[in-house]
Amino acid sequence: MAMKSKEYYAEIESVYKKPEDYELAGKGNAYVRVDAEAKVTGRGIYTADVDLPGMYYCKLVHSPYAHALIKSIDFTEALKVPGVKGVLTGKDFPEGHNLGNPEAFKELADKEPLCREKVRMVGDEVAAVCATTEEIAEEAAALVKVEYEPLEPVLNPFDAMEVDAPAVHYPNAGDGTSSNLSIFTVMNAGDPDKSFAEAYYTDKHHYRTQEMVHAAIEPHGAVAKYENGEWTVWTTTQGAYVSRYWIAWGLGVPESQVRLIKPMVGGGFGGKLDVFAHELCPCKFAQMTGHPVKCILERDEVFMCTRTRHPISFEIEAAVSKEGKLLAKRCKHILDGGAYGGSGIAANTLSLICATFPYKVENLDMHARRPYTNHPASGAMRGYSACQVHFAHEIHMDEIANDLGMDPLEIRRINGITPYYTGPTGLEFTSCKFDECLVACAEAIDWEHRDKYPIGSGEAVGLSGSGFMSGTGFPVLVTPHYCSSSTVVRLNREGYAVVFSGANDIGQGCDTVMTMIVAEELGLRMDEVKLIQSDTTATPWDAGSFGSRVTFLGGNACRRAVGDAKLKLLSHWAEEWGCKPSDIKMKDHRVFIEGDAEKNISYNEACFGYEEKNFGRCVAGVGSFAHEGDKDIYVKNVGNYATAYSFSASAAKVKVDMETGAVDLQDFVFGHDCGRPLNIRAVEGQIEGSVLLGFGFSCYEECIYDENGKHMNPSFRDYRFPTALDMPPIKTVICSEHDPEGPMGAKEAGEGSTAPVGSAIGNAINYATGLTLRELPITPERLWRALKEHEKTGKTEFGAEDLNERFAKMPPLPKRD
Amino acid sequence: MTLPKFDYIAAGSLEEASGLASQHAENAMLMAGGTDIIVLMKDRALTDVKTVIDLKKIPDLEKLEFVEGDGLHVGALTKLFAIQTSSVVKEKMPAVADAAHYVASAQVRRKGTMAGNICNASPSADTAPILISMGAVVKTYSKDGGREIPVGEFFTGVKKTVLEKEKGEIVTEIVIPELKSQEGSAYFKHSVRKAMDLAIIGVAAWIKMDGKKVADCRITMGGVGITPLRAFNAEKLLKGQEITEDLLEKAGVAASQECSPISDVRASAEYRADMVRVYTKRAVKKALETMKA
Repeated sequence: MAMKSKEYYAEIESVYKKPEDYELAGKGNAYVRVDAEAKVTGRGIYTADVDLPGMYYCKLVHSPYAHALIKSIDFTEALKVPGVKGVLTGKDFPEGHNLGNPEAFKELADKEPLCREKVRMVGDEVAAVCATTEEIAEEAAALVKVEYEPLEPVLNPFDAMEVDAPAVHYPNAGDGTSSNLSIFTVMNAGDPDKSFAEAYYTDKHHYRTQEMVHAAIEPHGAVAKYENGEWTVWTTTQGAYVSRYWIAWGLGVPESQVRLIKPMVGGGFGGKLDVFAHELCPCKFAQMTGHPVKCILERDEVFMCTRTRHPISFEIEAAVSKEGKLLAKRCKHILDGGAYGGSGIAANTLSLICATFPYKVENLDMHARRPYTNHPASGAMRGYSACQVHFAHEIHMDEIANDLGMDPLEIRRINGITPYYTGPTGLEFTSCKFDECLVACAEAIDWEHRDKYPIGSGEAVGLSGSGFMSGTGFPVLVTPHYCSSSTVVRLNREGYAVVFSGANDIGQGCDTVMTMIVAEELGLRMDEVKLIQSDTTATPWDAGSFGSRVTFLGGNACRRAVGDAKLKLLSHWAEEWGCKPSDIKMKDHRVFIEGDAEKNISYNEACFGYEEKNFGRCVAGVGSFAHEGDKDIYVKNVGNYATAYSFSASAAKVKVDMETGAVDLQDFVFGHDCGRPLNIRAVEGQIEGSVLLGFGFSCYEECIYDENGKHMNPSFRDYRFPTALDMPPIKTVICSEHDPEGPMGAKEAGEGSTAPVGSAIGNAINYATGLTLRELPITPERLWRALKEHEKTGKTEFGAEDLNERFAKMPPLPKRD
Repeated sequence: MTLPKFDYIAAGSLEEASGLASQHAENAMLMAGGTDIIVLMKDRALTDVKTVIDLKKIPDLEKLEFVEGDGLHVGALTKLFAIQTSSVVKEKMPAVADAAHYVASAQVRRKGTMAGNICNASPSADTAPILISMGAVVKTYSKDGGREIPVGEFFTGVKKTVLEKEKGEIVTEIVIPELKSQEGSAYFKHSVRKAMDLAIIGVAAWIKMDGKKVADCRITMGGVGITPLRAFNAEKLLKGQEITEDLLEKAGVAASQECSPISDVRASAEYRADMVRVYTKRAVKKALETMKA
């Protein structure tokens, strides 16, 4: 067996600071964000703030059709506008160089930088215009005449899977399967048929979640310049290296000729993982004109042309013992992939892995299908697949409990994952405080006395639980190292250290965490650690901000890098002082042996001493981290997906206005097992953001389309996510122990925490109204409609009512090669 | 998003502003806070604006005065935030403070004005229903000397008012009659979000009691027609009657039947009509509860 990285880095661990000596990590108010001042004063530089002399502006021309052939593109009028400097079509980019994500699945890349012959969604980019001002570019873009031959669009994922459905990408093979099935994924374990045959209780229910968007406040955009045969691109990305890969590929040039710099990013949430036309076109124009070129998307372009959260239709069957033990699950998940793959190709697997979380279920028969449709492309989004899956499966959990006459808290507790459990498909859990999270939530919401809100009284509490991966390897791997993180730390004799980290801060605060880890290990102040971040020329490889991997992988890499430097430094002084490196401490800018006044020097002297002895060579360390998974995880869905797993529980108290359907979320409790919280304020901030996201998901947000696939609410006015005033008071209970694999014991925080929110609210609404709602979002009008119908007919179950038939008529799964 | 090109003129007096407005007529736009028109111009929803005439430099238009025995005088440049936070408005006519508070966001209310809110003439404008129910009057200036227009007669359609552009007519003030003894008023907005949202519907009620019976009342519905609408049938049901839950329900049903909502991406016509029913009840009830002794 190959050497594990833990052994490779074992020596370094000997000089790591001991947890009892931590002065920063996990200490509530010990430090603030490194970018706080820049952000609160508005001086932070985001992509839109990058202004270069002589800069031109780029605007894109979008398809008004969901599905059509491009017959011709006429730039005559556009080119007459004074100030127009150039135009682009798909033919200006190398054919076959489609954009996708991750690079390991390049054969699945399906998005042309600009569409050549066919458009597949409203908003698909067909041309671009470059001009001296944004106004001129906008005016000229409106004058580009594109002639289309409209094709029948396919807008429903079940329709898309029918054999005679219009083909979104590839012609049907004629073997009785639809070519629109971009991906299907299977996960099996044990003997589910036997469990279902023998179970005391079985059921089958359907659920559906809607399309939502990331709604990052910063719109996507890019600035590119071309000098000395090299492009420099500033862009709104979650992964500088991955974006650079696809930009180079889309331009048809070597990666060595593209430098990507990530400025501050105003929120990603998964929507800034893929590479888009607005990044490729400025690069091309910069080369053509010799001027820097900027392209910033408008809000409606962000809605229509970037990425959305996969809407999922669920069929869930459970086999349960009399005592409430989950014996087996059969699930079918149908994910509307929209027009393209991109980061969306991981959605199936994630939906299946999450389907049993946070419970032990030994017998599984599950599959997920992701058909293409002519909707905007679905992709990664915070709580990737987990938000949808935990809504469906956790509403279902309460249905099981109620059918069995069990307490919904109890059924969760007896099924919950326990520390160091290994799941039937090989998921290896490490630390786990799920039960503690659940109990903390139940106590804080006074679950014991929930009967004080009679069913249907308009008020109720609801519970929910979830689990999530910490530090994923899949899907960006063929070898795990496609998904690694590498960091360099340099110690300066002038009294500071520099970290070169590829970890992409997108607002979540990893800049601060990386700085803190180095400061903690070296005994420096936070402002004595300088961070160089996410610049492909200056910083080492990092796969990006996704998959709950940044603190986990980046933090581990960073700690190993500083550990490597520290070991070199301390080994030198250990030799001088006749002791072991681990006997020497670094604290308060000093390097010393405790209790020995002779062996106590400043950090500066320590660095200089090393350099003196080593011919002026500075102290530098390199560290890396990757989840050492096996590729079976993505081929067969067998094996371990992540290095550790986080756990969460939620409890919600709602008051429903039974006349208007408005839901007032009056109280919310969040129990989180994120390992050791390195920055408690940041963890709390992540949880508050998670509750906002989950509340929006459950009661507010939805992309609405007309019958031609046109987005009807692409603005923050009509796509209504909650605001601060809609938010409940939030109590955060951190139920953690340090995780042995995480950096300083941390796991992920901020992504998995979105997953239980919607179902806690959904369960509470169901008890408050006496109804069972199985479809999101539960907007006031939808709830009002259900309440009215209930009043009239006595009906109690609402939502996803067409799905029984749609699943029954679904074509069989294609054979796996 | 870029602004189209236009001429910007900051008028120094009503006379100058009116002259300019009349001179440029159809292609001119008067601006107070600018929170509606600048956004609409950026969105290209207002396309024919060649000249923007800013009123902000004109003296004496930013008043907020309560005159005992008369009412509240709100200048054309008075910010919604000033109205929302004014202790005298909150004391003398809390429903007006509520309506001002319902508009958009804290940022917008610090720039936007009540006069601008009604001149923009959106059917769902938050301050319109309460002004109509309270019997407020708009004072204008024009080269003919101006006039007084009851707010109930001010709106003629979506984004349309009785203001005469060719005469350069400018709103200078809104006068809201004070609540007398046995009078009360209330405004409710129903929206998905608690802020930064357009009203699905809004209902304002003004009520005058005579002992236990309703002497007079005015109910105005926003967002359910091309202009804010009076619920005359509902008012008729209430007048001369003692208010009971049953009567309120009947009034609500009557109001829901006399509104004419549309279905759009924000709500269906059916839902809007039923919300008029619910909020007519709630508004009358609250008007009664907050009535001046």
